[in-house]
Amino acid sequence: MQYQPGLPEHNDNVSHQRPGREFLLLIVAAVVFVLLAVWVTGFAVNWAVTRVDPQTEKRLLAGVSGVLDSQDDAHLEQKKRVEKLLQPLLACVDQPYDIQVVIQDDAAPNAFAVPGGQMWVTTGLLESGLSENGLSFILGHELGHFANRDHLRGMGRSLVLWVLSRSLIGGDSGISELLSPSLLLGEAQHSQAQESAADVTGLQALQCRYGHVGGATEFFENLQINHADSLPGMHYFESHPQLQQRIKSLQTTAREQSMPTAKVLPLQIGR
Amino acid sequence: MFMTNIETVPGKRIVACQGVVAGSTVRAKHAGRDLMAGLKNIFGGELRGYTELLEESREQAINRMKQQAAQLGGNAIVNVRFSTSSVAAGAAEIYVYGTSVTVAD
Amino acid sequence: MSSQLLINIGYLLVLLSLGYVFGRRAESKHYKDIQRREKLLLALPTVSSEQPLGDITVSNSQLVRGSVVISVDYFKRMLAGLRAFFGGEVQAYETLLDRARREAILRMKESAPNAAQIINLRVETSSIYRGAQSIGSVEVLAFGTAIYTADTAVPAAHASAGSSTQAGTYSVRPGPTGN
Repeated sequence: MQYQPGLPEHNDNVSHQRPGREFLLLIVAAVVFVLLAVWVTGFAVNWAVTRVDPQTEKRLLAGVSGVLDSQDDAHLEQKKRVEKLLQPLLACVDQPYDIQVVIQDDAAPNAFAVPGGQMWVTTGLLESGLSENGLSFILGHELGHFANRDHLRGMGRSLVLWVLSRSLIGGDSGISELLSPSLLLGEAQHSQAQESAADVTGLQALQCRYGHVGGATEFFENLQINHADSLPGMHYFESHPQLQQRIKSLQTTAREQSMPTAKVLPLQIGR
Repeated sequence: MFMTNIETVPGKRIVACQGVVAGSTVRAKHAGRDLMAGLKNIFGGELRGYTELLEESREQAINRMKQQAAQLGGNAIVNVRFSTSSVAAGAAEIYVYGTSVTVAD
Repeated sequence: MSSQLLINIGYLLVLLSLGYVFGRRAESKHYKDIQRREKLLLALPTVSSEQPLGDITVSNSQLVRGSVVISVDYFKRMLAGLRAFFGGEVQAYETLLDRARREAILRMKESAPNAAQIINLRVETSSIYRGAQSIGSVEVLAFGTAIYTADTAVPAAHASAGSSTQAGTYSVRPGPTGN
């Protein structure tokens, strides 16, 4: 028998498509898929959230987060005064929780809506020079988060997306690092939408309580003085809308809904 | 093209030999099949999705081997061997090799 | 938070481009080298059968092997991960494994330069994981039995490459070269 040595003309064991092009194609498809999944999850969770009542939510959260604080004695007086400010706002915003105010000793001006029904207000916020209307807007904004069940929504979204990503991508694949920016984008956009909605609630609460919306943009204007804008393009990935944009949206909404402005009342909350 | 995993093609005479030829593919399953496999990990049973996938890959690898043999001028492949290995998460590689020969009656 | 994201994306892009550029370069260099050596070693018949080709008087035989471990670059790894999401042929790994196998077989042939034939070729492939990461590298082992005849089992000094003067009833005929 003859030995006929030879080498094949073309290598059939490899595809000859260019890897760079294939990579770009796949990554674009993957990013689109992730954004779509986040969008669909949003709808599904929105539907599900309306079916959970606050009692169940409190029980769910009691196991998950042990963050509920009790008030320390040093700030009892301030707590009482903030609660006095909160009372008429509660009548203006329809939400299902019984809200409890806790004053946090922190120099940074901030307020938090805590899952379960606590509203945290920092001493920094009380001392930042806001008027009574300005503070009421903040309280109204946080009440808006409660009214929209934003915590439950956030929890539901995180859960669903985590399950999806684990089951579709798996634990040890390298592409989770590649796709996390697109996931972040989807979540950031959702968070910004939530914040804008809460802003509108704050505005409506002011209108309802005082008959005008003077002082609504105080907090943001104060922040703008020291605040540095994020890098161009990166504001899409932030959890809150840009300050200037928030101020503009509030002014536009007030104009559209014919909400007047008037003089604001000074804040009367001691140290 | 004849393929056997013994030394000869029964009933035929080997007149020439071109050496070893091989075919290989690396295939990944898609995320959907992964999902079903994950569920099956709980319940047990045949992973039909994977079986089909590997069968398709094997077909393709065999075809590639036959093409290589044809390029070298052979018309049969003897002593065929298969090898499967997992080379990445979710991807399996099928390698099939044999000796390319020319047979006559 | 957004600056952190930028740093992460930047890091990823740097690794990807490094993997792409250097990986492709290494691959094409390797392929050229493989093709050159395959041409040189074409004269050594290698079969997966147990029987030697033709009538040949075997004076000596020896188990020979060649192995290689080739690593995956970052770009290939990402590509494979994306493929595992959508399904289909993982082209990046096909070239990797093709190279590794041809290299292993070449090394096996090179370890038996004076052999008349190599019979019963077997190839084993395995992937070496590094901890929880999906793939670090691929190892291929090729082994077979090298058989020597009285003619060819000569000291290296007298060996002539591609000699066709073996006793036996098979002849060597040059075939098409390529790839």
